[in-house]
Formats: sequence, structure tokens, C-alpha cells
Amino acid sequence: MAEYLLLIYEDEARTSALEPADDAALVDEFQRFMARNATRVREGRRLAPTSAAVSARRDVDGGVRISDGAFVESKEVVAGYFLVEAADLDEALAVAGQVPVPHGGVEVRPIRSVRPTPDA
Amino acid sequence: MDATVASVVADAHRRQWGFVLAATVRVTRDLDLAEECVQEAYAQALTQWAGGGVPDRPEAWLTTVARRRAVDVVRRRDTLRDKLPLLAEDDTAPPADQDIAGRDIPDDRLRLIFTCCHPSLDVDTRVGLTLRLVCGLSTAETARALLVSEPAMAARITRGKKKIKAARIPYREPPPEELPARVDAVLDVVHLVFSTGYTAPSGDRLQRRDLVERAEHLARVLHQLLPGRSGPAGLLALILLTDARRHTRTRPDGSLAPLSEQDRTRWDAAQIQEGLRLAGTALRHRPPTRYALMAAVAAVHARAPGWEATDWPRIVDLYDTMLRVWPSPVVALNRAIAVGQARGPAAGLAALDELVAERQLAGYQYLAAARADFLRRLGRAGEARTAYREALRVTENAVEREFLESRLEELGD
Repeated sequence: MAEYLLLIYEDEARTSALEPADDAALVDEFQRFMARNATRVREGRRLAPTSAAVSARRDVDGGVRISDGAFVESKEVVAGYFLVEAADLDEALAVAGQVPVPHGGVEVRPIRSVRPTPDA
Repeated sequence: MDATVASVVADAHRRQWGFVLAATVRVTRDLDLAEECVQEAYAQALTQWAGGGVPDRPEAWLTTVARRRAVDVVRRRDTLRDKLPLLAEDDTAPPADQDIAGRDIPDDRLRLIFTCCHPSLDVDTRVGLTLRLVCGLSTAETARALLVSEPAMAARITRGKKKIKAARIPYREPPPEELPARVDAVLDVVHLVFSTGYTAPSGDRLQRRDLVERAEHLARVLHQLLPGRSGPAGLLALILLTDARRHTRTRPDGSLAPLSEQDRTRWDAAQIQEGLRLAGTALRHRPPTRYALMAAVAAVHARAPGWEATDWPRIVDLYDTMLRVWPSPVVALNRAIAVGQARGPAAGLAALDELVAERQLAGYQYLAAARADFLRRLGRAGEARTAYREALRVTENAVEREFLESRLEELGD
């Protein structure tokens, strides 16, 4: 078994403009997704919008620079995540394909194993 | 004797590499290690067959030797508790140390092809890995085939293998519901290998026979492994029907002979027969696949007694259908050229001019060349000259360049 992080990328402008009823429907859909994949999904959270984000970046002289906002500015940002366990990439992709994300997509990233492979 | 053995080994390398490697990956579940073991088996074959004669089934001999070597290495590593980075494998697969007799070897090869062409790899990496692992081309040969530098190709192959390991891209045939999409990706890779060989993108020779043969071989393997599917039958038919013209594509002096001027009596009749039969099989499926339709176009050309007597309206119909199944600017371009044959150069030019704004066709040599041809036939010499010069600017194959230059010369100043 391997672990994969499913990063949910979303167009924030569109999701934040959802009517409360539509947003509630989306939350329901996520709950159904989690129930359906209960054996695979270890955990998953929805993130606050990027307006609430703060970034910390190492300076060249070793200090830390704190700045307002998400790390990389782009229209589609990380909106949430699931940590799933799967036998291989195809199984992880099958789960990723069920994530209800109408205005964006899902990036699948293998979690690096604790003991690195010889040439990884 | 040694020369004979060397040529038998070389032949086994060309034909059986993917077969032997696929069976060995089962044991190692590690592509690099499997490659090493297969390489060693071929090296042993050179010396052992020279002394003891060539075995009846060279591929079985090579597979047994490579797998035995792999088992040794894996056991040694296991006792060192140094766990191998595993290629994810289907749990239903038989145990690795089972003897090869009685096992479904072709299925192994299919697994290897699907692993190399997994959609999570970019297309260039898929082609590189397929040529390297399934066809057994060296990194240098793969680099030459794909017109990239050897270090760039080596880096791409290494990255591809690392991703297979790190992301655990499975070593198996995809489940039925994913099969159509996955098969299409594999067919596209094989088709790309074929077209790169059929008309080399650059260089002083029109064709790269080695690549054409690899592509035909791969298409044949896929058709044998998936006989009921339309795509593989269509692609194999397309390759056979198109490549049947290989001897007539250049004149004795090496210059390009367009389809309209080729001597059809010299087309490979046996290959056309096989291609027509396969095209028929591919077209029986509904809806028709893209490759079945492309094979159907090639079949119309193969059946036509001559250029003028070709059933052009039928070809236009086929391209119309293809545009619905697989809309692409290149298909639209081919349709426009067929329209020019069916309804005259003015209609063809009008259809082409609709495509000039198409961004994907900007710099595509065949668009300028087709416009030039229609303009020439319409007697619009000045505009035709401009179009030929445009085509020359973007054509890098010497034989094709020479053809365009000769047409430009015929037009005078």
C-alpha cells in the first residue's frame, strides 16, 4: 500500500460566489464521496480561502520573510485535500476521479516513503 | 559460424526484446534491474550459442536465463533485507518464481506496453520508454529516432522510470472500463513511431525503415493481443496499406514521387491484401475508430487503379466522419486536400483557406505545400511561388525540399 495526497485545486472566485444552498449541496456531495471511499480516505479537510493565508519564506540571509496571501498567486488554488491509501497509482486516480470539484481539478501526489528508495 | 550466431542474436534482440524483458520484470518488479538481466542474457547467448548451437526457441532460452539471473539478484537483495523499490503489481498475478512454461507471456508484454504508455507520463516519455523497453532500442537510437540529444533522451527515460517507481504506476493491463482510453494512448504512440519513420522529419533520406518496422511489429503485437478491438486492427491496416507504397515513393534518382505519379503495379500486393482484410475487420465496429477510418482512406487509395480514378468523394465522406470522431486541424487539412481532388482545385483552395487561421497548423509544411499545389493548378503562378517558398521555409527533410524546389523551378520567375 502507498499513500497519496489528493490536492483539490479550485477557482476560488467561482466557489466563493456559490449560493448558500449550492455550497451546502457541495458539502453533502463531499460527505457522500468520503462515505463511498471510507476504506481509502485517511483524512480530508477543506481549507479557508487564500485571503486567510499567510506565507513564510526563507530569505537569502537566513531570515524569514512573512507575507500576506497564498504562496503562489494563481487563479486555481489549493482548496482542500484528502490523504488516501491505495495499492498503486491507478487506484489513487480512481478515487481522485470521484472528488466532486466542479470548477477545478485534483492533483495526485505520491507521499514519499520514509525510507527513500536508492535513487529517489 | 560466429557471424551467423551474431545475426541470430541481433534478430532475437530486434524481435524478442520486449517479450523477454516483460517476462523478467515479473521477477524483479524493477525495470532497471530487469534490463540489466536481459542484457546479460543476450551477452551469454552470443558465447553459448556459438559453442552449443542456437536453441529451438531462442526467446524461451533468453527468458529463462534472464529470469534465473533476476531471481538470484532478488534473493541476494532480500537476504540483505534491502527491500526493492517495487513496481506495483496486480495482486492476482501469479508468483514471480513460477516457470515460464504454461504462462500467458503475451499478457506480460501487454502489461509492459501499458506501463510505458500510462497516461500519467507525458507523451514524449511514453514514446521514449516504449522504444527503449518494448522495442529494445538503445538510448542513442531512441534519441536519434525522436530527434533529441542523447543526454536529453537519457534524462527523459530516467525520469520516466523514476516516476513509475515513485508513483507506483502499476504493471498491468488496465481494467475493462479504462481500456478504450488506454489503448488509444498506446495506439497514438505506435502511430507516432510509424509516421516518424515513414517520412523522417529531417535528414537526407525520406524514410527511416527501422522505425517503420518497429511500428509495424508493435501494431501486430497489439492486434494479436487484442484481436477483438477495432483500433489495433485499424492501425495495423493503416500501416500495412500505407507502407505498401514504400518502393514507389521515390524515383530511381532518389527524388520524391507524389501519390499521383507512383507506379501502382509496384505496390506490395500481399501487404495490401492483408491490410484490406484488416481494414474490413476494423470497420465492422460501430462507431468506427479513428484508425479504422484512416485505414479506410488508405484502402480507397490501395484499391484505386490510378490517381484520377480514385473514389475521391468517398475519401471526403470518410474525412467528414473522422472529423466527428476525432476533430483535429490535420484531419481538416487532409479533408480539404481530398475536396480539391473531388471538386476541383478552386474548392480545395477555399477549404484550405478556412484553415489558415488555425494556430496548430501555423508552420505545418503540408498546409503551405497543399495551397501551393492548388494555386499552381489554378494557374495563379505568383501566389503559388509564394506558397512554395513558405513550404520550403518549414520543410526540413531534404527529399521533400528537393521536390518543392523542382515545382518552384517549373513555375519560372
